[in-house]
Amino acid sequence: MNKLRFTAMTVIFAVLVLSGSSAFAASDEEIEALRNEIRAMKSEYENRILEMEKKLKEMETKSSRAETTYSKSKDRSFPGRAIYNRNLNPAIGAILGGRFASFSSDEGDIPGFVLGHEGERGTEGISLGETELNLSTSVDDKFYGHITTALVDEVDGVEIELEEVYVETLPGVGLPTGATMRMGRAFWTFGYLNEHHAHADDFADRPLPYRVFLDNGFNDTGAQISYVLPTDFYIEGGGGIFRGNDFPFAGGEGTDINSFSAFLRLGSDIGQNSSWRVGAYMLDGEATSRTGGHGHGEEHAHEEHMEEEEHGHEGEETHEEFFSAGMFTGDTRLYAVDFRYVWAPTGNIHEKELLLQGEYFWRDEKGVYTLTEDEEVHEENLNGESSGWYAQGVFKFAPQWRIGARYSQLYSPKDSDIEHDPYAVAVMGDWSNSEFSRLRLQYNYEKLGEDLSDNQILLQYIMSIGAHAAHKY
Amino acid sequence: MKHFLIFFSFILGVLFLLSPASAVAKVNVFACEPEWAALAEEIGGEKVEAFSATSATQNPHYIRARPSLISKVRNSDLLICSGASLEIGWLPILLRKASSNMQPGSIGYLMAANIVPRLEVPVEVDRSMGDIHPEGNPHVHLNPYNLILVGKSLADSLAKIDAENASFYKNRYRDFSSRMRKAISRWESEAKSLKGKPIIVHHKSFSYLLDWLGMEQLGALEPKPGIPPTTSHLKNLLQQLKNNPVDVIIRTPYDPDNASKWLSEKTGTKEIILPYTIWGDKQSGDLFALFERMIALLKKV
Repeated sequence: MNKLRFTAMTVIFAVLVLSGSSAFAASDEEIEALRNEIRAMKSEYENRILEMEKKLKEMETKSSRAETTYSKSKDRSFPGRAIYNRNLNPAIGAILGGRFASFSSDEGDIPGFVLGHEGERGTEGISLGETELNLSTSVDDKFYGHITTALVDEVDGVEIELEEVYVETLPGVGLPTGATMRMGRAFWTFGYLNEHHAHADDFADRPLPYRVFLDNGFNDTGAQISYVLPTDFYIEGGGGIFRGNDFPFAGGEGTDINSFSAFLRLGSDIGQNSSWRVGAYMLDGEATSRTGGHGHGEEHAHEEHMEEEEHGHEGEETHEEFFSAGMFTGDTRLYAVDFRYVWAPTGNIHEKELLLQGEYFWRDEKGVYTLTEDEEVHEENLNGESSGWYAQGVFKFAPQWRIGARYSQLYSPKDSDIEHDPYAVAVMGDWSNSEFSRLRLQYNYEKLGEDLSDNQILLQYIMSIGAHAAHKY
Repeated sequence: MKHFLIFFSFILGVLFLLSPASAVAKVNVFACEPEWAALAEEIGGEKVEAFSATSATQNPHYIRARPSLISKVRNSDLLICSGASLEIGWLPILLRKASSNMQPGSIGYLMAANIVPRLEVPVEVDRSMGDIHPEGNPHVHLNPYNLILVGKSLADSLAKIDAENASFYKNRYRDFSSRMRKAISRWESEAKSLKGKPIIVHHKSFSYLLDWLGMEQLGALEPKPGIPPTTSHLKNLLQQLKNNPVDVIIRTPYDPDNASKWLSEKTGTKEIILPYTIWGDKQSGDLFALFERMIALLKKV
């Protein structure tokens, strides 16, 4: 035993000595050679160097002077014009949006799915849409804070939505390199679009699966951790825990962790011209009396109730009605896969760029659907398994111009008895004067039900003032 | 049991054989632009592994925070970029996944624009002036003096990150700086004839070069920084050139050619691509060759 240990130690020691000495030998020789070279040059160019030294010194002092004059000019603070996150004040930015919409159909419902507040078809006519206000900055050396509030102009007044309020760990926090934790409310990692604010979208509205499965975006309150593996190939994994109070979940009172998520992403480049990323995601949780949105349960239930009365149904409810207007209580699990591919000649996306993107969702949902009619409560245990996907392509053919097309498809819930599977087609063209302004014209054709077809024209502007955070891939 | 122990010590031996490799592991440098990767190679030699996030054919202001870049930055030890908001659209995303030694203010975080004197620092900043950078013009590498200044900071950082080889980096810096000084003095005498020559640029990418050579930048094809050339602006330039002709219209390899071609045809002024950065053309394989080539191209006009 002792002998063995001794042998091992000797081997180790020998290896160490060998490796160490060779490294030293190499650097010594090199240093000597370098010294000689430098000496030779020095004598040859001594005068020249002295002269240049003076010039360099000048530049160096100039540079420090430039810093001070610069910081002074910063202090003068032009109101509302602090551009990037350079001082102790948070970076402040706002997204100004507005649009005109014209729909050929009076109804925007999707039979077989209950739409949340956000996922509904937008307002017709001239509207402001959402005005985003952003504040963000490092809290200290360990945390970063961000707030996005949306001011939504509704018919009955302005509604304030807390879209994102989160803190995120900075690399200084002590977690392993590549790991980040985010806490609060955020557009969590799920699919491609969910992480992005609507202003960054390539189309004026979100595709059908986002509207029905996520109410346009999942931003529940919770925490998420993610980790980029130390590999050359991009692999990122993570997961989160949430209160379970945002669509597709509902009724989370915060007494328990009602939902959780997991995800895995891979990505890389193909040569110099293109790059790609694929991901797989899962979101699992419970819904109690879900109708849509952030816990607006009862209010909406009432509306649905009124609607049912208007339609004047009598007696037996069809399964379709349960899915289209019912309240859901049960387990819901959502799976998604996404891909994104970016191509640009020589990788120079400023001039030309092609973006291909698609996501597929599968919702496994089993539970009780409740319909209330004339004070009478009807309940049914149903299988709400459904799925949907969209694929889109956007081509930037000149630095300021882009065109795009998108196809979205839904497959109605298993027990719904609906023959028709809703689909929608969108084409758009947009013009961006700079990185900060964009005008867009979009045409949608939606075939959401057997006799429900809708032609939509959307005209939209999106402008960003103040600080504007870097966009994700 | 005995076999197991032999096997175990063999494994240990192999592990130790491998571990010296990690002891002399290279310092991974993540450069935002090719010129800084080249500088890292000048200073770090074979002891660094330099990667550039952009190439000469890509406008460094507009790239995406691609998955591959996230992995690269995550596995790097030192970041060197132009700074002055040139990488503002993508670097912040990457930095979140970088090590704590590469965060602003840390030893592995080098922004060239913070080291050198900046040109065109605006007194007033407003987005109506185009995509101007409040910190000044970020294309700082085109004055070779700046390379010496940045090289010094880079050598200091490398010496701290890889303390074992501190003297190696310091010596290489001294060598680089003396070679650069030698070259600068040659270039300065070669380029005397360029002094005062009027020039039009596509985008203000060459301000540091023109300032160093004493050339006169009379205008840009972009009406405002970052805003693509418009017909009305080009027509104004055409009028201006008729009254005050310039010697040449220059652009980088990544700028589109239509505007300079149009103006060149209308006025008979030559339009050329200056390599701008490493491998901007076949002749510009390193920092020395880059300046050599740019001066030669300008003198040929």
